[in-house]
Amino acid sequence: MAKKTVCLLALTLSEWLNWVAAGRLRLNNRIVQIDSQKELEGFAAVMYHAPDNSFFDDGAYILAELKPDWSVYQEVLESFGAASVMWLGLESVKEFIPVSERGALLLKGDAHRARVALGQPKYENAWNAWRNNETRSRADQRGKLFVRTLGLKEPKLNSIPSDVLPFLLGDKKLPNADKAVKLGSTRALAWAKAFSVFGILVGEEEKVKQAKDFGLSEIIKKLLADYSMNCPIIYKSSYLCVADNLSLVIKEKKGINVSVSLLVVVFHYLGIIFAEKEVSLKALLEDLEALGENNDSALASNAAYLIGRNMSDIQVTTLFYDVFSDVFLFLDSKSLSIYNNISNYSKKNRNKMPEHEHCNTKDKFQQERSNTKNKLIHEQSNAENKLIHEQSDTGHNNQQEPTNAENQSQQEQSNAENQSHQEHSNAENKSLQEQSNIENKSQYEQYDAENKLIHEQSDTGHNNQQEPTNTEKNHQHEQSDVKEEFPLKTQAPNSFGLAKRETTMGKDKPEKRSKSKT
Amino acid sequence: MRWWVDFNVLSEKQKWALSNIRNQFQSSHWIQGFAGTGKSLVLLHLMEQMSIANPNSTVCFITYTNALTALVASTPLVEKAKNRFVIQTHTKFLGDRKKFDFVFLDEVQDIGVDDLTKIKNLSGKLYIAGDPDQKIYDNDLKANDIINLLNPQISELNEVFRLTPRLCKVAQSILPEARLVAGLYARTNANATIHLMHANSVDTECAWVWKEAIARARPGDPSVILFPHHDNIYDFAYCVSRFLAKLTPPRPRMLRNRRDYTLFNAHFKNQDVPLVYLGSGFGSLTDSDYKPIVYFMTYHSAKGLDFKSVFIPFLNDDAVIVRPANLLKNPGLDRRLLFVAVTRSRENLFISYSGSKCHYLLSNLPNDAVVKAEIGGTNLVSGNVDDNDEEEFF
Repeated sequence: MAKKTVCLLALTLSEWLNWVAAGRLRLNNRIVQIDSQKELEGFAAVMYHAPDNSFFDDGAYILAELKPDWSVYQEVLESFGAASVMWLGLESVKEFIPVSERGALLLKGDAHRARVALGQPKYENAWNAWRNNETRSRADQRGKLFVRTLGLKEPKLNSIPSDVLPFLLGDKKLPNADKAVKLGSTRALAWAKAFSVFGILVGEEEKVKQAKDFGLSEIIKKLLADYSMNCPIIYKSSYLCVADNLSLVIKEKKGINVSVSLLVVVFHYLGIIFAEKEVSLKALLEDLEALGENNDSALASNAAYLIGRNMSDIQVTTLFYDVFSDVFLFLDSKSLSIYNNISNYSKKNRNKMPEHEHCNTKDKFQQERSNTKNKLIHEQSNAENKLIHEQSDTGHNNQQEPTNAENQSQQEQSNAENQSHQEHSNAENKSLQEQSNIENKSQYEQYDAENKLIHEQSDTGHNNQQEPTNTEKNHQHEQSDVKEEFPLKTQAPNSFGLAKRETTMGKDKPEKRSKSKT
Repeated sequence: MRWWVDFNVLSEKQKWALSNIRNQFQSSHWIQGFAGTGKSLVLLHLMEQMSIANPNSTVCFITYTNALTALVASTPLVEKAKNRFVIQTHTKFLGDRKKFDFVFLDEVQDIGVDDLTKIKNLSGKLYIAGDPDQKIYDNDLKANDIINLLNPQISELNEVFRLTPRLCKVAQSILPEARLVAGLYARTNANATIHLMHANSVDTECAWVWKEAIARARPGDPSVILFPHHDNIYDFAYCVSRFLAKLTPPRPRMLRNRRDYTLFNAHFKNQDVPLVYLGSGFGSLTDSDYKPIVYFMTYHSAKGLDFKSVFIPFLNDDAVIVRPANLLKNPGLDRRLLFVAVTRSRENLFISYSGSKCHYLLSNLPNDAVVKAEIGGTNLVSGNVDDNDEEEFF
């Protein structure tokens, strides 16, 4: 079959409408030539070059398929010293293609007003694949960020048996879940779901026996009229021993470790999130604390990850910025500090943790940035997709296959760029750290010793995964010992939601955390 | 505040509409779109942005119903700048005759031509939201009147964020001209169900609807039962009282052109029945924040609000949604009213009737979106108090 290539450009809604209105569009390295035989990878490359507007909605993007000789209609902005920046005339477009049928419906009105005839959404499968992949990846990122915010260890999902995990990830629905109308938004729901998973694992007969022995029906009936969703679900729960006993039964019958407490915690908070209610942070921290007391240290991390991946971006990042506000120098300190309890919880966890398991923010960022960049370059190279602005600049036919030399050069350039970025970033961090050391000395002294040590390691280029020395370990213990008791119980319940950042921030002792951010 | 979303959560299209409107020089702008497309939301964000850009200006947001005024006033945006914005009904606005630099008028289709002219004269810049296809009041305003009077720049929103695909299908079967595109992230829970329930008698229907509504009500997530007329509200409340063996409720009396529900609401409160009439300034949405409540509302007063579980009873084939004289004057008004009623649901919708046939507007309900069931039959879906769903679940 003949190989067919097309040049695609993904536009945001406003870019598209502006382009049609103004006749030309300013853009930079975004046109991607894709091969019809590798449509999925090619389409992903097109989307990865589109502006990140955080929307995976069908109406948020539109594709422009360009004419083969599209470069005729470009005007390079060399005068600005940026040969890669160009104006692209509207004449270069062969057709505008909605990403899906639904996108076509959403954009129909705008297209009509702009007198644009939309093409058929022929990339719908590729769009759905890309969107699903991005949605999953963002959920994973949120979960990990939440774990890091709480100062917990990396989650270990492989410690959760494969026949349980899909229920927690939402990939599989519990049987008869739609019949539990009365359980919705009550404290009974999480326990009922956990008992349901227990039933699936041990079988019907055993479930009936254990239900009778442990009075599972009675537990559910007692909790049915309990709407206090802002209280911890297992912390100080009288049913905790039931959960532990059920875990033992599973271990005995199936030979696997399943924490029923973890199931209850995760199902409880997911229930709140799916009901679009606000999660009580205080309650969540107490439940995680209770899980953390268990011998299995991954329980709290896993629960936090599974809950965090279902929270909204803004919920997770708000907490993250607040806990690591020393890294985000641009943030207005007065608008932060609503989550002192989470900061304390996070610090406490980080103090407890051995240093090599510590999720230091700056180093983590750099490492992840570097990994992501390398991954993207690798993927792009594999897919044989190529940014074709270079070809068009030199007047080459834009449908030519990239040569190996070109690929290699691109790879080398990216690696060099990556390295340079890394060096620059280190230097920048060092400079910021020095500045911060001078300006915020008193504040910085209060910061935990472990964090300080890692900052120093990062600045001097040391591997931050080194084991701490005994003296350092002792120092950490001392630090944690002198810290005041976990303060959650004495503070007012804190909950958070979409609007919370706007409505509640700044109400809560901003001076305490304020520091110079010049 | 459930329907409120922050700016960064608005869709690309809503954001585009906002920036487009901000950059226009026309003295008026019209945001069109069906129920649930976020017109009011965009209008509110626009109000905030225009107010920030013009700090010394006077700003007023006008709604058509008291319930909506309360809802708008409780949004974080308005709450944090209470003194900055005036939120009021159009009747109050016209009564005060105070001029504002920026006026934001929601549900424009329910305002008459004369009133719209007066509002225009009291506005420096006028931003309106609404759709003539959704008109549910008997007035003379048509789309062309708005265009002739205001010559507005138009933005159209067509993505219905709160409706599931099934709800969209049902709404479209009632009002075929509605151009709806179901929201991508609309709730798709297993519980998101649409049921057409048939009962043998009115009493059975009332009892079932009440039990189901109360079983589904939660603190912060009240159930609502919608009625076309005030008389239906009383009839239903009477049946509920009988079913619960409570005292007969007092009939709301007419007081200055509207029914006074003060005694009615007080009666149920005293009887410990979580039933509240909401509308025309009676009852409050905040009543349900901390306890499960079932609201009774008319189709009219429910406009602009949405609920997790919505019940629409009494839709027999002889049900009068709009009085024949009004229907003659406003053909299709019953269709639009029922459309408003069904689109109040963001998750569960229960339509019921007790006659031999259901209302003619329900004759084209899509079979793949609606479960038809008999009240008292074996295929009942309910979370009613007598069954053991919770045990069956685990």
